[in-house]
Amino acid sequence: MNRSLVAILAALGSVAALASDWLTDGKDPQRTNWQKDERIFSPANVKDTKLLWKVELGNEPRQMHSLFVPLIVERVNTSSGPKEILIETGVSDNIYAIEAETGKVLWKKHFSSSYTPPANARGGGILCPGGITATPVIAPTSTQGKYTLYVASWDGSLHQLNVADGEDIAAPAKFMPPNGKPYALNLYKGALYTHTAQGCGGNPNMVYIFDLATGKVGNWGPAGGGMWGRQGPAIGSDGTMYTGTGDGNFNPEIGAFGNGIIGIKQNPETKTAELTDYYGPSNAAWLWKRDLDMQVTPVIFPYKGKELMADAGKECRVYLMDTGSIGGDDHRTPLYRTPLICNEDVNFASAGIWGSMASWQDSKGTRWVLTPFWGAKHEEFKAPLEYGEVEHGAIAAFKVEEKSGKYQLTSAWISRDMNRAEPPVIANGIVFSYGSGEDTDQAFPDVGLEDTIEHRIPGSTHATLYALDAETGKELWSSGDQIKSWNHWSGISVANGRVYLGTFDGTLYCFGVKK
Amino acid sequence: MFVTALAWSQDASPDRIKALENELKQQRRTLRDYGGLIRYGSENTELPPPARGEDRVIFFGDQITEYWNRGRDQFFPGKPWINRGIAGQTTDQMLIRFRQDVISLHPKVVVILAGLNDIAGLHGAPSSEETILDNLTSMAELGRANGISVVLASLTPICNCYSKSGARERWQERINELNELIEKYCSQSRAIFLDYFGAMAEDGNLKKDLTSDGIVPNQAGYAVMAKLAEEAVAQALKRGVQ
Repeated sequence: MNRSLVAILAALGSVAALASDWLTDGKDPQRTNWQKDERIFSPANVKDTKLLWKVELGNEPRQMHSLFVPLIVERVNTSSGPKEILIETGVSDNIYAIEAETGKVLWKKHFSSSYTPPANARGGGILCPGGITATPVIAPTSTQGKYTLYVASWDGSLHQLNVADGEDIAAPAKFMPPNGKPYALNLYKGALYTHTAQGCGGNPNMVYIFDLATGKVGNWGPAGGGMWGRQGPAIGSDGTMYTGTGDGNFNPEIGAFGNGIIGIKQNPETKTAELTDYYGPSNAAWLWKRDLDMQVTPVIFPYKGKELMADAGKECRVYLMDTGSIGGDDHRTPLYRTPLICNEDVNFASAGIWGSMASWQDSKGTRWVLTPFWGAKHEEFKAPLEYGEVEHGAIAAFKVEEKSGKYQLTSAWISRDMNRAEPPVIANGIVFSYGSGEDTDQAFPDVGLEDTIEHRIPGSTHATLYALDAETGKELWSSGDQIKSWNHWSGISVANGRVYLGTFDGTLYCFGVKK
Repeated sequence: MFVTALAWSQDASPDRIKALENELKQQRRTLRDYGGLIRYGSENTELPPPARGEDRVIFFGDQITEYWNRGRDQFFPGKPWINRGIAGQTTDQMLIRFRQDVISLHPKVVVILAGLNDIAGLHGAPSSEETILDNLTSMAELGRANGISVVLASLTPICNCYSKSGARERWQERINELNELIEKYCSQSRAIFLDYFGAMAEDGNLKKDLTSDGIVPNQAGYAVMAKLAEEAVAQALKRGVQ
């Protein structure tokens, strides 16, 4: 190999290494929510973060859903040259491509659907909003600067679009039944993974795996308990996807895996989806009784030669597991279970852990696990560093430790109070998170269960974005009242000195520091 | 005006506000979970069913039961006996959680010690002795209907050893009246009567050396109770449900 070729390859390698993308919800298939490639934000300059732009996209909300986590591609070759592009998904079957530098909409795609849900199906309501409910996923192609966007539309079709211009790359293909509620797509080694919940459209709650090479779809259902981890499944190094399951009986003997965690793998020969591992908390019966779903997307990370996974649920504990056997021999024993962090009152709607987890490793080699939680901190749960009373939610940070061969999560800090703390993102020593401002109450003393937009939208306020020191949890910056609306079931993404957040009113905000 | 201003300044002090907030928080918690189902709900589901031949016993009650093994890891070490006491509860609250905390755990025997907080009117107006007995009777009948032998304990005595409380003197009279009703019910229903009162009282008062506050037994007090409880449980196991 001659020297000039080596120099070119080295240059390409370094470009690739410096590329700061956010191609999938949760950043990567493991759902770490860790932006390892951030070079612009730093703990020193994040205090100078400003609103760089905001854009009203015109997406019509459905129920409480509006905009999902923006995906980011740093360098897309377009007809007008390379651009950093955001892909923002609107629940009303809309995809927007936005120039990251300016907030200008480059193209918009709307998926028309003539589908009418069956009359006898569970439909409508906050839990079944219709439209696109899964954050799409982006993959690079063999052509540098060309990316494919994979989207599951309302009618259950899989679309493949060119990120540069929104044009179809392939004809839509059948992915799942229409009007279901899939969660964020994950892409791993040529297969797309998702799962569904709430029985929307009369569909059973299933895992779906779409094999891109053959177009075959494998599916598997836990017979009780929808799977509603917001960032979809997390995928381990051997290709097994993991996710928590919602309310339902946990009784593996009859094939029921509610209120647990399941591991599903694609059969390489048949492309079917097969159960390979499962875990049921020892108090799964209590979780089912009190509507304390295990509804959180797990996070997977390497640790001392093992692959570990952390997950949680509304009860407000974090479980640490070894993906080699997530529940041990009896499927009921994780490596470690934290005490209750919150939800002393066993509130099924406005307390507990919701959404997804996060994990990162600092420069000293310490592995961290972070979780958001809603509601007040449990009176008996303490962290070495705390920042005032937590009444509405916060981020809790743990260090992963091994002591005498036993693994544990050691409490490190709890952030300031946030009004419904949402899944955090770690970027270059900073934890970004936000309080969504959503009114999450579903039951009221005068009317009982009333989970309707008429009750919840008027009670929702506005989101507030925070930047925290990742090692101490200390607040470094906040957006104050600059964000005018709230959001539901959304999230943030970070790349290249910018953090993005969409709100219920259809506005996409970009905060950042000048390069 | 001075008195009013003083009262206002006292009412508005940060400590007073904090105390009221805490009280409100406790009241809210009670309202949301009146029966106290959260306290042992999760723990119960983690208990395996009794092993073959296991003589599981549930001790069910209020603070006198809950504090029995305070500061110690085990309740009656070596015995499959389970503490399901919740401090501050009245008998109507206990009735709500009787299925979750007793029946669902499939014990052979339940030892019920309750009623003092009803007499003290902890959740509003004091209950009459008959109302308290109604609740105890309901628990006993639920237990028997589910194959559980029932031991009904007398209320433990109280004393003014560490304070001068007129209320406690009034409670003492009512404790005696309720204990008579419980004993009578046991004699008619074949529930076993467990007489803590007789062993712990002197001239109607809780012996000073058996308590540190005049209500809750200390270690010496619980030692007296333990011996009596063991005898009653042995009797209940021998007799079985009839």
